[in-house]
Amino acid sequence: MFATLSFWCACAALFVAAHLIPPDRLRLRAGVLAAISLAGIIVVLDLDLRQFLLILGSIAWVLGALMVVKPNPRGATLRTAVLLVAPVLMLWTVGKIATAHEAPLRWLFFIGSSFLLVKAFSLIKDRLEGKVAALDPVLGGAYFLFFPTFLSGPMHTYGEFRDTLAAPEDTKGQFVDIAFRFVWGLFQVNVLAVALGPASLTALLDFETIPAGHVVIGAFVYSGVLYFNFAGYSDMVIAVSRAMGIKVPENFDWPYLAPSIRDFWRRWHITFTRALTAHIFMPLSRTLMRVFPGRRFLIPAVGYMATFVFAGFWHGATANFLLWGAWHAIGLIAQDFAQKLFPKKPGQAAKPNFALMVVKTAATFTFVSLGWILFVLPLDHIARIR
Amino acid sequence: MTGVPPALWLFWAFAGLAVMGVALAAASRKLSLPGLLTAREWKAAIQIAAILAMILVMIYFQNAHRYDASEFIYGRF
Repeated sequence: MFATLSFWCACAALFVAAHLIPPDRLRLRAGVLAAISLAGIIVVLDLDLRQFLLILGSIAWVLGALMVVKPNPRGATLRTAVLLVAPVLMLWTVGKIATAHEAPLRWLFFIGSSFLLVKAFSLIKDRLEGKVAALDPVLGGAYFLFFPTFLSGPMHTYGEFRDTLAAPEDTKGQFVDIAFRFVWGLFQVNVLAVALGPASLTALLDFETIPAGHVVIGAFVYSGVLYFNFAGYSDMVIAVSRAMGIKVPENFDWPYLAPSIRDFWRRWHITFTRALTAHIFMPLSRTLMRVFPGRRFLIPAVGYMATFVFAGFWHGATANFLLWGAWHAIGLIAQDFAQKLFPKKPGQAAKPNFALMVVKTAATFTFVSLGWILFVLPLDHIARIR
Repeated sequence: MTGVPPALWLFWAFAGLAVMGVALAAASRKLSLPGLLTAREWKAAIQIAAILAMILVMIYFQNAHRYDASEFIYGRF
């Protein structure tokens, strides 16, 4: 995508528009950015008419519904949010399953991809909870369509996007910083990820019989491939957006240095994790607390499982993705259990033990790396491991 | 380059750059080079050098065309 002329034309047009239209003409600025972004999405992603209409229809449905439904923080916001996002969710789900099984309805998945769904649900819930005081449909359109982040994030919240559009970042004198971030991202994607690719799990997909040793090594290497691919992409998006004065939230914070699985998820795909935490894990936990008061271990366990199985499905509609989600949920449950069994002694946190941190970090990295086996290899491939 | 795999040349090139970097850092302490530029200017100079090095490696790999949205793991359509 970054090597296509159409991508750079769309970015150049966004850059010019972002710098020419002053921030006090916020609606005009948002409208022009939305229009250029939509043109970029159509050309770069080669959308057909049905996909184009589904994207516009979904955005119109969400924004239209939010103009009609009033904020009600004390009401059943989760239920209302699910009802409002249901049509988009249904089309996305059918398309997702069709995509995984090569079914004729696979074009439905282009309803705006998984990222549009998360942004739609986040916006609906924030609006119902009163966190978005005034919703502007033009600004909303730009929020959904903003071209650099449309395909694979990082995902703004509506408030973040409105604020950065209204008060653009002053990037004067930061040219070298921005250029370095972009080239570093490009380098990660085009050199580091590509160089590691032949030794990673994806190289095993064509094997008839898959040697177990190769799978384990491939899993560790794939950790690097995925990180360089995704973090590199995020770096490029953040750099391109900063050049336009638009601040994009960070998506990665040295995730493989995390000493626990919970910490890993605070550092990996940060914008997705915060949406999952705010819109699935927390509301579900609150509901369970009302229904089963006092079950302090059971409630987060059910919350982890529901959240991560959804996260698995969000990545792909096949059994291996669901198992990958369950793998992380089990890891988090085991971690909670271990903390309950071996509670910290008073004053223990004040004295960091370097050796223990290294062991914990290595254990977390191993756990995450082995989890990628489920992420990459379909179940019939896993059955061929010898 | 007969008999020597290109990747090995790249390795030695990087090793050479690393040695030069260490030597320069040592010399700069001795010759008070930090005083020549401000911290911000040093940062920019190092970033520009890194950008040039990365661009050279990318040209060497010549694989910019390999990256495609449809191949990206989080964007399977």
